[in-house]
Amino acid sequence: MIKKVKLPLVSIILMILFVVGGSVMLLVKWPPGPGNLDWGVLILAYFGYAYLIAASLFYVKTGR
Amino acid sequence: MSLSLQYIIVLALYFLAMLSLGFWFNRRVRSKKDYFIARGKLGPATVGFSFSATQMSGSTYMGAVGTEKILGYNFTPAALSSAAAPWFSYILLGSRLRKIASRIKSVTIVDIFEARYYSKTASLTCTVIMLVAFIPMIAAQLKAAGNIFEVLLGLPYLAGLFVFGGIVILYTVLGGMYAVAWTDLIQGLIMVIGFAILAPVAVIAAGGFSGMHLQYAQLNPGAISFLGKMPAVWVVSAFIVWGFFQIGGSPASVTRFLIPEDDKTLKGAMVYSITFQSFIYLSATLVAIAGGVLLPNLERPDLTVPTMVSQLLPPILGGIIIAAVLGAMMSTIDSILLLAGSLVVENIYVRFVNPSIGQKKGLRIARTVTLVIGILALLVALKPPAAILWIVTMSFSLMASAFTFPFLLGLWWSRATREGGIAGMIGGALSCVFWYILGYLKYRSLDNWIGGVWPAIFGSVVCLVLFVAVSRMTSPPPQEVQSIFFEDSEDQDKTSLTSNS
Repeated sequence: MIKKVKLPLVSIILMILFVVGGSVMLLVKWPPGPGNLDWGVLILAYFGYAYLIAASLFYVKTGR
Repeated sequence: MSLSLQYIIVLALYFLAMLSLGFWFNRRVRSKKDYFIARGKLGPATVGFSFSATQMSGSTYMGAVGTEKILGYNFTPAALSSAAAPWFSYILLGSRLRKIASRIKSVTIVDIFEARYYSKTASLTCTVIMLVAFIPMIAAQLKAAGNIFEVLLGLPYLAGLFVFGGIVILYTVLGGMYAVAWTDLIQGLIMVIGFAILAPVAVIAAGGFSGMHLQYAQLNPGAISFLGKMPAVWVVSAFIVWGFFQIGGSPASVTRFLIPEDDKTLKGAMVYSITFQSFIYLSATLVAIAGGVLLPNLERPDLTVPTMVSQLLPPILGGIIIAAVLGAMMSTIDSILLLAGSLVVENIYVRFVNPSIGQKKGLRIARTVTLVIGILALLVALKPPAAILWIVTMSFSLMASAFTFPFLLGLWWSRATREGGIAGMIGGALSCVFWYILGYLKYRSLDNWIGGVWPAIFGSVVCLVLFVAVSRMTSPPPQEVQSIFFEDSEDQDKTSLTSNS
């Protein structure tokens, strides 16, 4: 059976969100947060990795 | 017993283990296909760690930590993005490459280029760009290892160079992809153990998470948030380049997608890669910021990790981390060495000189070529000429510019043509070099670029424009190419799996 190649659309949307959202976050002035860091640094530089792992697990589970 | 001697004992044991793996796997290699890609013979952990260990060179632990120590959170987006590199590569390339490699029985990544762009010119262009980048890259890693032996262990540069280089070359020549992937796995695990120990010790020594940042902000106020030391365009460019553009910038890692015979192994490998790289880059950030507090006046920032190791950890643990740093260099060298060997054998010798070569003779030639390339790189590392530093600095950007879109669109856009692929590759590579030259003329530095725009971005944009425009202006690819690349047939895949095994 022949089937056309399908793009993993959800993962591509998550990638665009990561690149565009991340780039915007770099340019915004963030208020101070815990740990003597601002919220932007805390979210992106420390919790950004959790987003990557969760997004990769989503692809593994769904293939999308 | 002196500190150096204790380090040397740990390293000697480590090197012995790597060599033993080379001899062990020597017996399992029966053909050049086994030697170069070991298709279907490696599990998800081995493939995943090997992908990542290849991507993260010694500079991740030396140069990158040193840069992050100085630029602080201005540089951290590049670290996060580097951890995202496997996510982009596996999903956008991995599954397609695996299926097509299995279908057309390719041994190298260039075979896929040749099939997709139905042209020997395309494959030769690709091979030449990669080889130009690879030999100086191997030489630079060897040189960095020689410097570690000299600075940290007090051994002569040449002794370090030949011992380290000899061991990597020997286990790669003997065991091929088996040895390379398994040593990458072990080296990766050592890196995890090393950073799992060093990061918390360093943060505590620097005053704890909050205290460390308070002190860091006082010592380096421009580096405590994303902007302050570097222009915004530079920070955003770094964030984009180190993730997405690894698709084309790291062909030695991408070659790992040719190994698995099923998607399950590939997906498992992706989880290992992303988790591993996330852990390393997160820990590296903590170590770099702690380094900024503990060693604010260190003359050579690239020695941040080794200096902290010698000051904070007992010699045995310190030796493990030094082994991890050298292991990172080894895992990059062995993969590039193997890929360079496969390109010379498969894409030059077999394609243009002797297409009907037998498996045994092919294996012998594969080993000889790998050995010769290794020795050549070793000789270059004896006294690297200034031009090599240029090529090393440019090599990642050069490959990212030349290959990212031809790889990506070649697998997902059926209208991409041979002429578009060749124009994109050559145009992208030349524009990248042009951007470096413009930056150098203006700033007298290879690290500053006009408007803060990274050369990989400039080169890739030129590549994309040329690629799409020329593809649109030329005839579509032949039906045969379109059906190989854009029609998935379960029967077809099953047949190729059977014939491969």
